[in-house]
Amino acid sequence: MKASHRIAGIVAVVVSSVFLIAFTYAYDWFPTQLTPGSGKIDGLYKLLTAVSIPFFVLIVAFMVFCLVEFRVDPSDPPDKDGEPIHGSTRIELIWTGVPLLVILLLGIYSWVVLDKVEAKQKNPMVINVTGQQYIWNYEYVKNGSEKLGVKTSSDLVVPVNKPLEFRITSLDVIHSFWVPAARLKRDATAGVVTPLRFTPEKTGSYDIVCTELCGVGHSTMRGRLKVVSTADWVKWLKAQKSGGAGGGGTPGGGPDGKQIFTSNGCGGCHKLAAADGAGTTGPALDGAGLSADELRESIVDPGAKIANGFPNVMPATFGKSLSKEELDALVKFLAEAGK
Amino acid sequence: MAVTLRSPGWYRAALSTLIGAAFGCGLVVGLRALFGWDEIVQAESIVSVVLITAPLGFLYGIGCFDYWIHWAAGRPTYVDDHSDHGARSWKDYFRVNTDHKVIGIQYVVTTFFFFFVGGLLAMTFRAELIEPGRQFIDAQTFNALFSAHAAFMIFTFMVPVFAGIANYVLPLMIGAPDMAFPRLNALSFWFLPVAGVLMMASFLAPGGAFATGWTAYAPLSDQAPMGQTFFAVAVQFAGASSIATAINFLVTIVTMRAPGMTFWRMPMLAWANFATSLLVVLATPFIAGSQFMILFDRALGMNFFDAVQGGDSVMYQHVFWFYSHPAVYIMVLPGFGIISEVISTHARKPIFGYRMMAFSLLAIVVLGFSVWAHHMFVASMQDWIRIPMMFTTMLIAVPTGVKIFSWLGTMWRGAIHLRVPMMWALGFITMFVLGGISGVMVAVVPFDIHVSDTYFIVAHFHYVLFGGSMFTIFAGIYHWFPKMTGRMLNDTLGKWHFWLTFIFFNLTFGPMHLVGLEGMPRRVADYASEFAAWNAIMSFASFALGLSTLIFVYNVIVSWRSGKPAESNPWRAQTLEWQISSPPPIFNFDEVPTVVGHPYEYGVPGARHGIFKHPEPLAAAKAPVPAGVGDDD
Repeated sequence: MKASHRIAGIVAVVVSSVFLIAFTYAYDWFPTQLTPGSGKIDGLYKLLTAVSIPFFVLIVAFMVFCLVEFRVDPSDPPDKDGEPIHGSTRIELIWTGVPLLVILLLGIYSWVVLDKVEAKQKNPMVINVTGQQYIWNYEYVKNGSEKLGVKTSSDLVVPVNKPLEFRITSLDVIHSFWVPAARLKRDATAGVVTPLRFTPEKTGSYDIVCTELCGVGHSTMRGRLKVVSTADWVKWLKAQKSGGAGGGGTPGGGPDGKQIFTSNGCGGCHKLAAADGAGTTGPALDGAGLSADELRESIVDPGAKIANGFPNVMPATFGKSLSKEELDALVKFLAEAGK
Repeated sequence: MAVTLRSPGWYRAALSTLIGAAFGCGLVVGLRALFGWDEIVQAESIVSVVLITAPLGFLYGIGCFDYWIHWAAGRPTYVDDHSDHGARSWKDYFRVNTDHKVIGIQYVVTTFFFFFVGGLLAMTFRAELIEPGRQFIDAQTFNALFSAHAAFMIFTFMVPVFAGIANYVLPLMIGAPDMAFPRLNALSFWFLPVAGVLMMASFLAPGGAFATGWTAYAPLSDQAPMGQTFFAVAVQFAGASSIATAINFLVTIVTMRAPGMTFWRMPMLAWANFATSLLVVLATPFIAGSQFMILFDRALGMNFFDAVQGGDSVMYQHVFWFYSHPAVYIMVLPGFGIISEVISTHARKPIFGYRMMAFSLLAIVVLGFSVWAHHMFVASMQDWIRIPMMFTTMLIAVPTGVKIFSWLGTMWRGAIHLRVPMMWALGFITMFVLGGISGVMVAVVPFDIHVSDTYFIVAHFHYVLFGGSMFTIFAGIYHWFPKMTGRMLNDTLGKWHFWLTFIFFNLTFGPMHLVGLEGMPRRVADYASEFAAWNAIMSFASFALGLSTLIFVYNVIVSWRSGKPAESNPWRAQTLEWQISSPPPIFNFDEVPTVVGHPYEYGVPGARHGIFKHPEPLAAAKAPVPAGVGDDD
């Protein structure tokens, strides 16, 4: 091999490694960074990629080099063999030891990052998150030492810069509560309560996604995380407590059936023009003409009667998760809207 | 007719399947009537039992148990003169046959059939994913499609296809006349179509096919429609098949090596299958257990996984992954063996660091059992266990790295023939390194918390299982096809197949890394519109990827019928299977080989791996008609 070729090869390896590493740091891989932890996890990803790039480039370069240099050509004798090299203890030790060292260092660093990301904060706002086919229910338990006692099944509204502690569980099958902007997720499992902590730093509206296959409506199980200023949040809280917008079953105004239909994700499977339901997994409710009793049975015990041609997949948990008033309001609304 | 129905075969199988079904039905209905239960005819419980009794009836009818039943009943067992060895026409491949070469081909062809079934399912749901919103598949069917795709690819393709290749090649490589337990070997194969047919039949079940992913997480799978029962039972048959085969491989490797073949003189493929079989025997009972628990939950109301009744669905995940992580190595270690054979042969070099290659296989076996909970970093389990599992998982990169570097070392100063099997081997290394890198990334807990259950994971395991395992399978098929069929595959078509698959594989699965990082979850029928462009690209690339495999099918069919006849040793390899005719004689070795050296002594003057001495006089008297098998293919 000519010396000029060797130099060209080395230059190609270095240049492509540097280029790929630079690209890794320059490219926008992730959604918005909502929390201090988001930045740490993004940084960890970039570090892991940057460390891996030279390995990959060297492996490919070595393969290409061998193919160019050691490939037989027609002028070679037909029974040409390679050199009988059986191994080299020194080289084998190096390529066992070096990756081992790199792996251990990366592992320890990742452990440190994990500890920082998951660190407990002082006086967090505690929110119980309960997954259910195919919605998320939130119960605002307390803010530091102040009791809140507000429940909602629509948007998750939180104040900016407030440490949050979610306590996650499920009413039925396993779900997973993922906030991509926070880079964090945790499974919701019935019978277990698992914590998830982060502090949102930016106001705005962010995705909440269920990432554990939870049944036929899994892909419709998305929610919104609304991070608002503290003043706006206090206003929102007041409105919730007075039973205004949230539809939480308070004696004052009475729950709103349409609101319950929407916030429980019914429209993900059932078509109902009056509440913008457009799903096709379950039978359409437009013009279904069911009586109040039939509707009530179909909600509380959906397996009792199955509409022709539809699978028996409707969650049986709404009888438990809706209060009596909410159920009454929902049945009343459906009986009218679905005439 | 009476004779046809009494002798093993498809007629008797049809009859005994019906008898099995009727027996299962009668058992359930009878018992329910006896206990005076409400619904005497209850579909779910009947199906649970019939799915077990009908396949057993089929296996009896086709003839898997005849010899054992004769023996157990004290009736005269027929003298095993091995006259059923070999396949004289294509029809022989549809009978119970105890010849490992016939079984090997039965395995490979059957598993590839299920590979195409799985591939078609994938292209169907990729078509649904071209745009956000609903196109033509409802959510229930979508979930069924990706669940069945994974189940077919894992249980009826990736795991057994390696058993098929090794079935054919391994006894030849170690100089054995057959596997240690030929009748068990036949039974292992026939379990496999049973598993596949059960999974296909689940699409006809009320409520549709199983739709809870191949992972079948409880309690979702406890509550799922009847198709789930089909899955739980199919996994038992597939699992029994792999356990029986693994025992067979272990005993064959330990007891049936040719004289002179010490463990340190075994070809790497034998080592790889030894390691894999250890994994299969130790791990597979766990998935069998997990699916039996689901079955009992569904059929008997055991409440293993119902939290309200004191059950624990996190435990399901532990038991499930205790098999299903080692399963990843079950699906790639035999491929490592194939790659070692292919690179050494086509680079004409001894394996670099042979002993380290063997030790790293065993290291992966041991470490493979200590990493299962890395699938559960976001599950509701104890936090502390994540840290040790992260370190053990990352550590697996070390023995895997040793293998990759040693393959590169094997190419160094070789005399490289860039033939089609070699192209697949090098394609494998490139893709598998990428899959390994993303594997280390997802082993890192804080990063995995973000990407767990997203398309990043989908990308990662397709790089490992398609770019990794699937490429090794193609390398193996292109490498041993001449030995198996006596015909050469067409080179030009092989190269087209490689390059098109390589390109469209990357276009299909590469972008999945990006959408996963940006926030697209896996297993969704619908997605946010920001991912639409990439999804369209991935879908169209996946169709092209599917089409590229048709080149392979065409090549195999045409070459098998009328390809160039293969010499006994077209690659001038040194392992034993290449020292006999292509295809091999009925009993593999007309003369017993004696192994006198290492299997890869390329470039060592005068070195020999095996020599053939004349057989013992007794064996010579019984020597069968050689070669010419399958000549009417």
